[in-house]
Amino acid sequence: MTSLPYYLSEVPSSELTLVWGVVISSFLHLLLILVLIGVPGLLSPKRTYFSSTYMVKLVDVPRGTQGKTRVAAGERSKEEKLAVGETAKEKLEKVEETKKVEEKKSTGLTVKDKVEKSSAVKTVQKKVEVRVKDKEKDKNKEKEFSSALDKIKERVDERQRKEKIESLREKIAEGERAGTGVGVGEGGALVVGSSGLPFGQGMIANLPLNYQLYYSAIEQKIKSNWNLALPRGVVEDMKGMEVVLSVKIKADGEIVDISYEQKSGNIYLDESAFRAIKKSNPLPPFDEYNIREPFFETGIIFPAVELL
Amino acid sequence: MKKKVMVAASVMWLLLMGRLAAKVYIYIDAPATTKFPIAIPAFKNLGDVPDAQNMGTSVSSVISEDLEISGLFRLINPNAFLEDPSTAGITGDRIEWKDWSAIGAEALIKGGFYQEEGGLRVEARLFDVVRGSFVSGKRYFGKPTELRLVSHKFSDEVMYRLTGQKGIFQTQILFVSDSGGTKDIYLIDFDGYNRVKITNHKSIVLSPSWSPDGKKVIFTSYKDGNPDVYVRELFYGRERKISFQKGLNIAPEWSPDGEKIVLTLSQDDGNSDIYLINEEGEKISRLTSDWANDVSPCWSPDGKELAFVSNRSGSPQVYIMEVKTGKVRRLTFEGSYNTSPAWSPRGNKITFSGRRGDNFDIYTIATDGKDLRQLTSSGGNESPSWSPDGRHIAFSSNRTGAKKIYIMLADGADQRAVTWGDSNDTDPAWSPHLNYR
Repeated sequence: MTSLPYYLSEVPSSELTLVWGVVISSFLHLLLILVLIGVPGLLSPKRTYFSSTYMVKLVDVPRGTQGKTRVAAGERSKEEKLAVGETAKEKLEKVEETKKVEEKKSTGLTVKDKVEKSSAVKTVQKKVEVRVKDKEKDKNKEKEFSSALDKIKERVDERQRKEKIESLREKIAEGERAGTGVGVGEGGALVVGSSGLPFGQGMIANLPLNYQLYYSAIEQKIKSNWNLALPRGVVEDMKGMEVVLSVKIKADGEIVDISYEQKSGNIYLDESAFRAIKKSNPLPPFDEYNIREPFFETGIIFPAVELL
Repeated sequence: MKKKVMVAASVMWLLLMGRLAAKVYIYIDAPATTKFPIAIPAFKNLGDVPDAQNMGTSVSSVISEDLEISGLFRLINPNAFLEDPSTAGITGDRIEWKDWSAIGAEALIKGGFYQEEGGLRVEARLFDVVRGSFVSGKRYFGKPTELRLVSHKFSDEVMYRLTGQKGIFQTQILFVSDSGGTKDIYLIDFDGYNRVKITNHKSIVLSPSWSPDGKKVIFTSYKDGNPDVYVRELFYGRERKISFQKGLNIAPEWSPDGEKIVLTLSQDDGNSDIYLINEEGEKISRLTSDWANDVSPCWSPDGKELAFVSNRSGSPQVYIMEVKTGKVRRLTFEGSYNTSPAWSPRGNKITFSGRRGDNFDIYTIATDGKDLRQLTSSGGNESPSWSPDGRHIAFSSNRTGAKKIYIMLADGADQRAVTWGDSNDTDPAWSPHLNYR
């Protein structure tokens, strides 16, 4: 072969594959870019929400009480569509199959379910919204919820739970993508995107029971320490604002770092949130909840609420 | 090649997963309380002169009461305090933060005072207990008689530092009282203290109203037999009669820019209508000219509209008029007698006194006529007036016998009397923020 400039040289067939590889790679890159730009919400910060209020709705389905439902008879069958499975995990997975969940941030309490297939879910959602509006009921709900949870908890096979946690640890060991505090896992049915569903802007965390309980404990403690004294009128100007803080927790429950992820624009709301977290230190140790991690990070959102 | 595609696909998948797999966020839906827990121990005597008048506790109790009235603070009971006041310091380096965080305080006010020859020096500091840090400190010099004012000043500082809003603790209230035998105008601090008599007409004086700079008062007096309008400078006591037309010259109120005065005149025909005049008493324009009686005008905070009372529909009701165009719309429809409107400094609400049955009560209503709320329910309640921050309303009530001035939060909470005794106290007018104090 005479020496020709490399660009004129004959391409051996083995290298042709490489060229094709490059072409395909470029194509896929382009596709990826288009997807990232084109799919709404994909480029905006993604959040997974945890809210015990929400949990009430998904987990507190009366199946666990073996027929002793608190639901009106007519609704029972619909409820049971949701109330499948023996474990919270299964329920959550089932729900995932049938609907797309989105938490509506501005109202805080209201959970807006985007129902894609099951109209049954719609009925439940309506009920849920009514319940959420009624704070008194909500408190009872919480009680009922925790007792229901206890029952469910008992039912969850200890071995299966260990597997889940093991799987969680594996996933975390694999390296946390995007710096998430809680890993992703299909087998463990943990968080976010584990089912690969095209969630919208923000979704409800699909967490294993022990994590749900731990998040719930964090929520309760911080909430009880949150005092927000904003004059009337100020809050009206702040509708929809929220402050987001990031908290790093050590295994012994100590909060080792608090940082603002997003300030609200109102220093007094920001400060009140910081104080609430600071006052909540230490949080419960991980081992009380069977969580085997050296530390983890979670975000905490404080909305500018309408004061009376 | 299949391999390459697989690799590329998995790279893409990883990237997407990176996007999807996000941190878990806990949503705290509402605060446990909407009040700021604060501890205020008695101020320390830092000088050698014994504290004969209990100034230390006076200062802390005035500040405590101020903050309590604001409705935004929860005062921690001093009995719960853990620190030993005899050894405790008033500076950050000598504060045991745990003593205060343990009892739930988020903020702490500490201070001390020196009694000096002919004067008083007060130091006050605000601390953030949760962070264990100093927030603000002030030193005041004054006469011993100004102890309350000094305390109010620091309350304003605390309010501003902790909520971002200007406090009302240095504001004052003008009102009419018959305590001197005839009806005259008196002035009190917003909490009822430091009562001063302003006019001495030995006649009937009515409806005082502040100038926007808080330096003058405008009112109606029968001093010369006819209800005429007077302006009085509060500092110097100089007084001028500015409107003395035939018939009624009543219920004057300064426009927010201080350039015009709106009032009710009845002139020749005896029918009351609303007019604009300047401070010299010269007529600028006539705003209403119908057969009905139009009285009690008050300005919107932007000066573009007026709320007033008219019986054009048969019974006295509150109406709103656009000053520029004269366009009028009716605001109140419930009740047979709604009167003395006052426009909230925030612009979104109007308070008025309305009769249902035998008694008048204080109401608020949004300026679009929605959200009518009854704020009082005991005795007769009249003449509401907003605090300059729009968070409080002063009014007069006969709920315990004689008419007294009360203040309350704008939602009707925490109603408390700020005048005492047997006299009848009416027509409260809450001052603007008094920048000269």
